[in-house]
Amino acid sequence: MSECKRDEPSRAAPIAERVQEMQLANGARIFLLEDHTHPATDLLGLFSGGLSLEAPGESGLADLTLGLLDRGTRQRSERQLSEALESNGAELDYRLMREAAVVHARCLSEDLSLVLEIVGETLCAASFPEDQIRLVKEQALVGLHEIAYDTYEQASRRATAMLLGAEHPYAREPLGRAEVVTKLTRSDLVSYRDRALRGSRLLFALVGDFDPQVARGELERHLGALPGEEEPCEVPPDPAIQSPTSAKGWRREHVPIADKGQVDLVFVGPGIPRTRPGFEAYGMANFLLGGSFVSRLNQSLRDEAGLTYGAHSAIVSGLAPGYWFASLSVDPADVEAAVARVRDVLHRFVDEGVTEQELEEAKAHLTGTFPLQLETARAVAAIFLDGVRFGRGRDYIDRYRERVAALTRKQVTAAGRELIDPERIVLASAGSLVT
Amino acid sequence: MNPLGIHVQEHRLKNGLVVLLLESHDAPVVCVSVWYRVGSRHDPPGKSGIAHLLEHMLFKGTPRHPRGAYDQILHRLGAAANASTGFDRTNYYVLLGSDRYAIALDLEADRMRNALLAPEDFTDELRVVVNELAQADDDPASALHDQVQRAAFPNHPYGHPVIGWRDEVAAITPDDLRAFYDRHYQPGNAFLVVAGDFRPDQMLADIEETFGALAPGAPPAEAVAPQAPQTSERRVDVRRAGEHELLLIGFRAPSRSDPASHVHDVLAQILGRGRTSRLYRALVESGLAVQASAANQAIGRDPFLFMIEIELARGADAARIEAILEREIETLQRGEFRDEELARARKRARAGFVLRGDRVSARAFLAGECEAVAGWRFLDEYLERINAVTPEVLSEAAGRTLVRAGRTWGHFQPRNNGHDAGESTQPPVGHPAEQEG
Repeated sequence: MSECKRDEPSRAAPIAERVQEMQLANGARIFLLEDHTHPATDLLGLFSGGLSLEAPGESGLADLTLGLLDRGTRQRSERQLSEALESNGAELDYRLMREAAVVHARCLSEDLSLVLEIVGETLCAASFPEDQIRLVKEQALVGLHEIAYDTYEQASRRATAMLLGAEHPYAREPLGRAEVVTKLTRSDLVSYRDRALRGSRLLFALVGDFDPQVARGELERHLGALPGEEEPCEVPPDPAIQSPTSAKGWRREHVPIADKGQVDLVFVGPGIPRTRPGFEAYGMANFLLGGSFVSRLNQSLRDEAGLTYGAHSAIVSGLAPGYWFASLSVDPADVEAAVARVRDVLHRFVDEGVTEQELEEAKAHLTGTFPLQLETARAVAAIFLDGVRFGRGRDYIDRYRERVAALTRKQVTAAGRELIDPERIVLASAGSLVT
Repeated sequence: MNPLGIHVQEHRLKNGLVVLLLESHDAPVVCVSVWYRVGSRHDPPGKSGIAHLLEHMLFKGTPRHPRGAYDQILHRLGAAANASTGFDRTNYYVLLGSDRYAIALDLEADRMRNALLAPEDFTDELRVVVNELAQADDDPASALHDQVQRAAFPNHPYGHPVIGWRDEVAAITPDDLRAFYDRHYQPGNAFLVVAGDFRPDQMLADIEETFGALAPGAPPAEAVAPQAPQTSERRVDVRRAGEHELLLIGFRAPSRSDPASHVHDVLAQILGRGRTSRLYRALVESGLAVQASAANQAIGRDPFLFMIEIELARGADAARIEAILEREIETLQRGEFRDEELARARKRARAGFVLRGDRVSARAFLAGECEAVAGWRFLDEYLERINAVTPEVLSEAAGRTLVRAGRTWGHFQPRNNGHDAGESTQPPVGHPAEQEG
């Protein structure tokens, strides 16, 4: 059933030419990239949907389901699974993203067959034993209690809820709500698994030291058992953004948390989908504003004023626009000074635009650090799959530096102005304010 | 050849700088990593945090590379750079494309002797560090860790956090910093680790041209007296707002240079690493805890702690957990080990090197950490030593280290949880009441 589309050329060749692709009957798209530098292999799978597939009232279901996939299957108990993996020094983890459920494994090449078998087994045949459900639920509930005292998490949740609405997939706490998690049942987990972990949703990459002929057979055997398409697998439509687009001025709220020496400040605004043509310009605008140690925010708040250990910003988005945020942690006495400085930096960034010099330096930095990012097989797999997921093409890694180098001051300034509206920012703080 | 599959070449320049080269050509990347044999153990009394503050100030320029130049140059080069301070060492690294490593050598050699340490920069950076300190202190696990360390090492610099105590950090002056820098930052008190894609002969020539030009200086005399052995248990309670209980138990354990240090790595693995570990089965599987782990923190030149961390499940009883933990330790002391536990430890050690060693920066860091605390050759012998561990030596190590008299028992309890706020039931021996609460 697999279809090999390319043969494997040497390591020096562009990744787009080295990647082999196969598609399973259930719709799963699998990419194979051989690299025999280290006797190890990484497996990375992205199932589209993730947290956004939770129905209203199911907050926490996706995370709980992923947490239980390796806690017992029809073939092996939790103990047998743990022993098989840990006895070989292999790593297997599942992670929930706003728009994807992620599986990642890493092992010595000599153990790849076993690890592929376990990955397939946990994805297709998790048995969700009741004792393990109780245990993982308790871990989630303790995690939720921890978050309740975490100033960054609380400020971030409040700010995104103010912007997008508390039920938006980009605003919800991935661990869910305690009252919902407590009531989730085994059949809820099975139901989420059956709708989320389908071959038709899966992009999978195998990167590292393996024999492609052997791997193809094993991938087909172990991932071919995933169910195929049952329902359209597009991401649900983005709910109306409740950003203050109609009203000028900042909206601001505070979450009081006792006994904290620092206050976390999180500023948010609407984001940009990663499928937007020319997304690199938005990424560059954010990079100049708060994406590096020498960014405008960090220079002003840390280096010039010493108000914080660090200030940064990022665009959190996928197929949906998500949000843009900036964050920093400050002494309670410095909250107003920090807010004023952030406001000033945002205004100047938009009013004056980016300079030729900072843009050229940032281009040199990003194109220079890109090869450093590709040192690990996992990073190669993740960047490659994002390229496919967001329609940037299989040659995204090969062409990234040239796309960044081609950005102009005009493009980046325009992108920055679209991304940041300094008159309409939502700000949430959390901690113990000075009274 | 070490378990990373990389041959280490050692050289020594005339000015005393030790150079370790780890050549590999799997990626066009070089990591230049400078290590000073100075850390929080050298903080003068009442000035804790000075080694860490100095690390921050090293980014504030030299006459040739004034304030901001270091960051700007590396930013334009597409380099990743950072630094860290530990008990016994301070590390600065630059990871960059192999065609431009010479600039990193030049920058690092320059700031080894020529840091500006301007008083106006000092004031700003002190404020940044105080913010960093407050951020760490807001984390219950971090606050508990500091207090356990303090109780376990009442008369040794390992008793204060690397970042320092807040009031002592605030008391550091620019003159203190200058004196500390002049004393410790010199070629004879440092070593350079370079890993990645280079030709060793060319690299050595480039190092000679940059670092080799620095004047020699004698390494400062060591002034830290060893901590007296612990003879009775110490208990620390930390109480503040929070939602669940944590236990952190530290047992005084041998340093990396002790021939039995690696045995404790295997003990930690069997007791508390992963879901196959004994603590997971006894505490997490039984519903008493949500996390339980053990680690041999042989991270300094002097003995430090074998640590056990337990995050309690809601409503779980700490006294019951203590009894179970002691029972598990007794089985180790009695020598009750299964063959598969030892086999697992061996394979995980081997796999760990392969899976972590795929990055040039990770190799440089591992070699540097080993050199700083036990000499880099420790790395070459590590797997062989792990493979030779027997139930008998494990039992002997557990009997010597995991004992009540040598342990410091830390307990974080949330306030508003049926306890009085701000009072420590059993203050640590030899210490004033804790400042928590």
